[in-house]
Amino acid sequence: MDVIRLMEEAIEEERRAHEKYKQGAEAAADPETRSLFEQLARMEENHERMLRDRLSALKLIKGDR
Amino acid sequence: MPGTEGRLAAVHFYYLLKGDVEELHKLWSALTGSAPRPAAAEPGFLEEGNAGEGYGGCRVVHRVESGDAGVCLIDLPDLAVIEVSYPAGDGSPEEVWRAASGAIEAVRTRLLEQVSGVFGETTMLVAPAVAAGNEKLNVGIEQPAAAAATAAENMRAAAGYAGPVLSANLIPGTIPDAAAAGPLLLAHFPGQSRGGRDYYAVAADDPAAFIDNVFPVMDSLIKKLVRTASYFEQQRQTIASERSEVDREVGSLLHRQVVGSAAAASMPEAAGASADSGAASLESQINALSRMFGMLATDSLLIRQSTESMAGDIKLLQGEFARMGKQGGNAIGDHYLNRFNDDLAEAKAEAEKLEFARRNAQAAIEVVRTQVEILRAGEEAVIQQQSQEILSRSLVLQKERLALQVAAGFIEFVLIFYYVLKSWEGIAGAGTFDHISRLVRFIVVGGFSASAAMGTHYLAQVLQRDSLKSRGLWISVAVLVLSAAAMVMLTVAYE
Repeated sequence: MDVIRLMEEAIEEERRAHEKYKQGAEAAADPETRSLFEQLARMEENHERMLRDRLSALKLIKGDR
Repeated sequence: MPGTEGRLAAVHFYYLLKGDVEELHKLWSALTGSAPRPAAAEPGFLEEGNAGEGYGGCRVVHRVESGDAGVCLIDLPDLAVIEVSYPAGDGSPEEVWRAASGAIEAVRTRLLEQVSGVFGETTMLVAPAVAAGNEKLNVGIEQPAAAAATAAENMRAAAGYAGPVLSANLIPGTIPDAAAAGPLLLAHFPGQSRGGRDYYAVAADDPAAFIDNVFPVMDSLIKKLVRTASYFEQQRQTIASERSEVDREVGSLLHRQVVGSAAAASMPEAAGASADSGAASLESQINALSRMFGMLATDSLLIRQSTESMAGDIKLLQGEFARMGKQGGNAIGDHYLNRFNDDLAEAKAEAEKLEFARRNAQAAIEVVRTQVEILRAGEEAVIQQQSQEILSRSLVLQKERLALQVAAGFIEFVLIFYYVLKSWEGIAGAGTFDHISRLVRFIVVGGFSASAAMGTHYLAQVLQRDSLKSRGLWISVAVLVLSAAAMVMLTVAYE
């Protein structure tokens, strides 16, 4: 499978996961669960950023601009 | 620049990859409140413009006003830039910059929730050449060598930035499309750079041409190089780790080969006994080495791509800074070019180490392959010797079989001769039989017995071959029939 396509799909999955955890944090009644969801949301956001950085570098190198 | 007949307070640049059309459209729509024209087609969107090829491949393709701000789409060789210009309101420079910075933050916070494909950003504060309460800045522009740092420091302090300040003093007339700018001071705050966002400040009488045509080219090259250099650095670290592992494996394998050869030379019996397992082990070593060699070849290709890509972009960036001139020293150029050249040197050094490791792996493959060939040659000699022994044994067996066949044939002949003679005598009767000459009896019965014994031998051969083509068989049968006929005729004749 094309790596760029794979990365784009992975970014979309990370974004969805981030949204889901954000909703979880908003819906959580107790502070500990809210804190857990917020932490997970931050992690997914970091993953998404890492993937985006790598994807843009790959696109620049491969000339897919 | 729209809405900027007055002076500017700040400009914010959003950089996107030209291939990310959807994100580009989304960002443009969010900033301008209108859909881009043409609505969906990327080439049309970027080609629809009012300018041809500009400075450094930079081209302004769309300009609109959105509230107080001016929004401008710029086409660069690799990236598309959306430039948002914020006009200066009333107040001191500090108040103007603070208000503009607040507006920029409010807009980008809202936008980045909707658009996720932004490649990089730059916030630039714009200082007027003549600003109330900012006399030092004017001094800095007029006498850049010593006072520029003071002027840049004023801007940094006013903007609330921490960290070092780098400045470049541009010489009027040397930059195409920006000649009208007059003396111009560009300051950079590299300590503020975070997550692909950079901070600059510019001071000039009319910085519009510089902001639209010159700065995006330089800034986009720096952003591209920062991104690719970071990617290549990560690649280089992984590759260096892989190379070290291969070096270690190859070294250990060659050591085992040398020690193993010495041990085999001192104990030839033991070496001979483990020849079979040795060949299998060497084959697996060749496979492992080939895998390593393949890995190093792929890594070499990646590093070569890295160095070529970086070298090309560094050359372009050098060209940009060269065009800006070096009056008072180009600290921004030196800062980035030194950094990227260091990265490039590291990548080149890694490429050389990889080449060395690749040659080592190749040499190790040759060593192991030679060992396999030697081992196979030894095995072939043993096989040849064994074949010769088998052939000799077969020859002996064949001779023994022939002797047994002759003995069996002779016994068969004697038995047939005896029983035929007795049978003939019994059938013909003693009177008739005695009249027949002994020699004739011997010849006829001998012929019959011999042909019967030979016939069975030939019949066995015919049965083995599944073919009736046997001259010996037919001669034997003929002699047998003639002998039997002779016995009948002689019996009748002498009765």
